[in-house]
Amino acid sequence: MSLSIRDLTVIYRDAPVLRDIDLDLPKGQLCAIVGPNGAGKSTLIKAALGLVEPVSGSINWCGAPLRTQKTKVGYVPQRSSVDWDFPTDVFDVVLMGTFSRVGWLKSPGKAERKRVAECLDLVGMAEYAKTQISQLSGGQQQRVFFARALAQNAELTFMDEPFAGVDATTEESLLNVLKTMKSEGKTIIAVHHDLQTVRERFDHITLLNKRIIASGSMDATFTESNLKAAYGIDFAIAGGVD
Amino acid sequence: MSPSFWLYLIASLAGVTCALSGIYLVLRRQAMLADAISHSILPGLVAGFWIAHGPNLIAGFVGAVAAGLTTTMLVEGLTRTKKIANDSAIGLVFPAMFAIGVIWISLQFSNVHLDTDSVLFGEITLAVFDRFVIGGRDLGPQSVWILLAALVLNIAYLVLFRKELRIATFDADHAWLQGFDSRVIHYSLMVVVTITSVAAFTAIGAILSVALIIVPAVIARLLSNRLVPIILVTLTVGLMSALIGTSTAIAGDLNIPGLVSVFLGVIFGMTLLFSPHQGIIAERAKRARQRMHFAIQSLLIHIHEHENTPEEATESTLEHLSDEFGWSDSWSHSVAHNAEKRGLLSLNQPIIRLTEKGRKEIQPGN
Repeated sequence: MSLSIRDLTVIYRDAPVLRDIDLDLPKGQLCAIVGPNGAGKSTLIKAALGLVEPVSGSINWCGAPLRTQKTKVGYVPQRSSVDWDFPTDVFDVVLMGTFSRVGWLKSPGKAERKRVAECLDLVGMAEYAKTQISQLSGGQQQRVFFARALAQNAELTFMDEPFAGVDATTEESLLNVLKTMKSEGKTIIAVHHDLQTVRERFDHITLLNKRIIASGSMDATFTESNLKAAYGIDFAIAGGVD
Repeated sequence: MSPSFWLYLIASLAGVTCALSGIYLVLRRQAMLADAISHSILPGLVAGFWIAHGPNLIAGFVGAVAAGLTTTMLVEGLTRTKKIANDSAIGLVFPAMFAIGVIWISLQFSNVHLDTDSVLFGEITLAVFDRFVIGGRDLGPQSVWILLAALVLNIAYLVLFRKELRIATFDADHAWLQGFDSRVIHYSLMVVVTITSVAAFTAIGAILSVALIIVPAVIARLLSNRLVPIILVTLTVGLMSALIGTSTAIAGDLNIPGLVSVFLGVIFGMTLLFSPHQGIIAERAKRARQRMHFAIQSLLIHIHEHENTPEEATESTLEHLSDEFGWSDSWSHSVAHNAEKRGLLSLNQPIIRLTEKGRKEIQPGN
């Protein structure tokens, strides 16, 4: 187990959003976090990243506090969280993924630019390198975010609903990117909303509803009883589980 | 050098310096902070003078920068309580700071050259006579040197922090994860804006400095969505409005900062109307083109559907279009004649006929 969250509690305005979270997620796997609206899925990854201040709790990656290893961590936020009217082009946004290696006040060099070109190629956006980001469709924006995460070459990448609102072609292409990342030994932790597809796309699942309902390998954990515990209603799982 | 040469130089330097400092304020949607800072540096200036027992340039400068930062921190702090929105926090802080400054001036400095009028509108004509003298040598007005220093600071900041400014503005969370704390960018930008405001303050006053910081960048934003053209347009607008405003003011013996503001407003209005992509006229024209295109398509399909049918004689006439589509007679005529002009149909006979080109136009996949 490589991402280890202990005793994590997050409170927004008096009400706990996450309570006493103890969670271990394995290295080198595609891990999904699912749960109903308001279950605290986004908050969990934001707290893990340090973007939200928890009331208590520790987050460790490979035995050391995650906040001391920020540059090993990638993040694909929800698309609406950034300013797509910002005057810049696709290449430049992906280049931002290399900035942690470049450091303050220095400019990215040839190696970084080459890496960006490769990443754009991997997500099928090579021909859009010089396109202004304000002209992208939702699916293209998501591809740009994936390319930015790839460019960072992070060990651990958190994704907030990476497949929300993208078309089937884009979804397929982004899934391939995830598989590539996995084959390179990277760990992906993604908030996912679609129970119909979570089984085939991820190796590991965590069911969340303000606290951890269940967490483990897909086969052992993606059960109707666990889903009922998380969502409070009965689910018929396509493909028949249990 | 003649006094008017110095007037032009001071106005131009203020124009380009303020304009540069406003680019990222506008991109970060924090334009109102320029207003807040330019007003709230007043108590800092007064505090500096009070400590130095007189209008000491350096003391005033340090005090003003401190006041600018205090304003920024108060606004941030109030916003972070989540009880007050950011714009309300700005509206709360800067009038209070400005009021402290105004009251302090009237209490302490009624006999010194510092009054509320010069604070609001600047004393660009007097700025020419405040000379910078070293070892008996007259090096020109102090304002020129102060503005020049602020210009160099702005250019250096934009060049050195170009990467950090971009990442922190586009995605602050991602920037933080990559090791670039966006608060560092935020506060450093505020320091630069504060220093720029202070430098421009004595020459052009609080109100014009706000106009010169915000308006050129807003105009550039309307004209382009690429960073380098935005910077170039911002600089050009800052410089042009300063030069035209100053020359008109000198010719008509009018207030220079006032006229520069007026020209900024005129350029903004023209841009809003005539900008080739985002301008009101371009958008109206585009919508009219789309409306006409859609109407012609509907008309062609209607004619095509009734071609060689018994109803053709009644359906495919100009008069029938108003009933068919609920169009006014004049719009029906304008659509039909427009389509004829494009060679899509023929209006020579009572029955409207499609041309070959018109038939092709509505083929699937076209």
